[in-house]
Amino acid sequence: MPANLSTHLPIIPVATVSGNQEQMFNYLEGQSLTINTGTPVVVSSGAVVASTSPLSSTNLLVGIAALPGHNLASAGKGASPLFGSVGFPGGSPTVGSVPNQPSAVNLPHGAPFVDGLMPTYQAVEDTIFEVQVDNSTGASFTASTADIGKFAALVTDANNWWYLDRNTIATTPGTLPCVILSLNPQDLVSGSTTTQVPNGRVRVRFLPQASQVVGP
Amino acid sequence: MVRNQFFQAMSVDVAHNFIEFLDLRQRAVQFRAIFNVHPSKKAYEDAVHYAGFAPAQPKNEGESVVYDNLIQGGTRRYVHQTYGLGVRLSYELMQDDQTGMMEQSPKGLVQSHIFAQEMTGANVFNLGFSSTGTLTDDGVSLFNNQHPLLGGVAATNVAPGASNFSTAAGTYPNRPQTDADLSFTALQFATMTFQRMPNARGLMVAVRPKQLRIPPELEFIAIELLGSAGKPYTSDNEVNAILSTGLSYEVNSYFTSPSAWFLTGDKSEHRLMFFERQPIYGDYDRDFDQQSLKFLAISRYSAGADTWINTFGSLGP
Repeated sequence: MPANLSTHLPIIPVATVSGNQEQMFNYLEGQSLTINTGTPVVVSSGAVVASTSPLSSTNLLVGIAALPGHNLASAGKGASPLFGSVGFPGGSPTVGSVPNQPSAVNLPHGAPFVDGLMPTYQAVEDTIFEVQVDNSTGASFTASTADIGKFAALVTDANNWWYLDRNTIATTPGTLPCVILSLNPQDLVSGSTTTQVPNGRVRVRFLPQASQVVGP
Repeated sequence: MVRNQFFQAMSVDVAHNFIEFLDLRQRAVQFRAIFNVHPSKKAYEDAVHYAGFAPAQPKNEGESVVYDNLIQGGTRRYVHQTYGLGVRLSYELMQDDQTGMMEQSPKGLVQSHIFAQEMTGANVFNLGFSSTGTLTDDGVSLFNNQHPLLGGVAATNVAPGASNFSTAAGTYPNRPQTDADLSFTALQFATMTFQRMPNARGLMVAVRPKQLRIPPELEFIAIELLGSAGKPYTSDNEVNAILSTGLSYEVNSYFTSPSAWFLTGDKSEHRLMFFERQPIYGDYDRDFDQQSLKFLAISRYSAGADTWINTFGSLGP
């Protein structure tokens, strides 16, 4: 049975243990990347691509992408060389064509700039992320305080958004990538201090074993 | 930084300290003399190229005049890049430093920023020969032997003398077909190529090389070429025709190639651009618990070329 929802909220960083801004790094964006915002990404051949679902100690992540993919023609296209400028045309999408100049582009003003980089919230133990809960078997997709301290996997839904799969919840980490730290209090059932509404949001921390940043 | 990394700076017995960022003179800023420097208040700056009309056409008796359209060309976007550098000094180091060097370390940060700005400007030239480097609004490298003209073949058909230099109809070069070392002949060819530059529809525009921009390795050759009373390297007593062109040279210490050389027209006529989003800005703060002092300098800018007109470059041999 599929998950209850076909689309889930993007994973976002919500806090840090240290109180500093969450650690970010701009990696080169991989070729033809069309990921959603909040997708776990992994560095492969020097550029980030989507992590393989389910995340685990084998299917690693380097962090959570802060932007959707730009479908670049080549990895890091447009990235500034040292003391250079962001490469032509510097924005996307382009429109139409330019007469007699096949390599030139029309860039609609207001089109987002593209610099070949993917800002990524790094999967370090200092950063706490928020992710929506569901269940890949269609069974229980309601989180409660009993889940806190347990470990779980993140997987993709039908539309390539990621969620925490309650079907994988375990009391020991095994190969699982993250630990549940708390529940989003806004998603609690009215009047309850222990149980969330279905498909609520929980806060997690990625384990070193699943992270390229501090992992094996 | 902590005291044990600079234990010599704790001593009062040193006769003289040679502190590079205080004792060495810095070069004068060069990029501002080359580029059209503009302030910016946006995340990026867009530049769009528009071509004018083709030459007027004969209208025979009883016939209607011909109508023409302006042409919208490509867009060149300048996305600003931020540069930053900081230094942390321990409380004890600041107190015990006998040289006065530590409290002046922000001067070193500013020099680092000036270097980054200069390199960003120079790299418009250094990377101007590469299809993945500096590209203009026509989508090809800044220095290219076949810049496509918006007017296409019709432009080079009507541009007087364009075919003397163009190797493909509808294009015009600002780079030799085969890169040449700086020499009298190469400079003569570049000057002629420059003077024949048409606009995108093949009309003549006022372009003329003003500056020969070279790396330090070519300075002696430039002095000989631009300074000889007679034609350099011959014994025929001809006059040095370059003298009458009014061309002067400028050495750029940040050019990386020892053999690449460039010509640019008057600054008001070329479109080499440098957008300054944030001039070099300094800040400092003190960590409350450690009482360490932190200095930083930050700046944000972009550089490039809208279009290739009024420029010429050769990568040397």
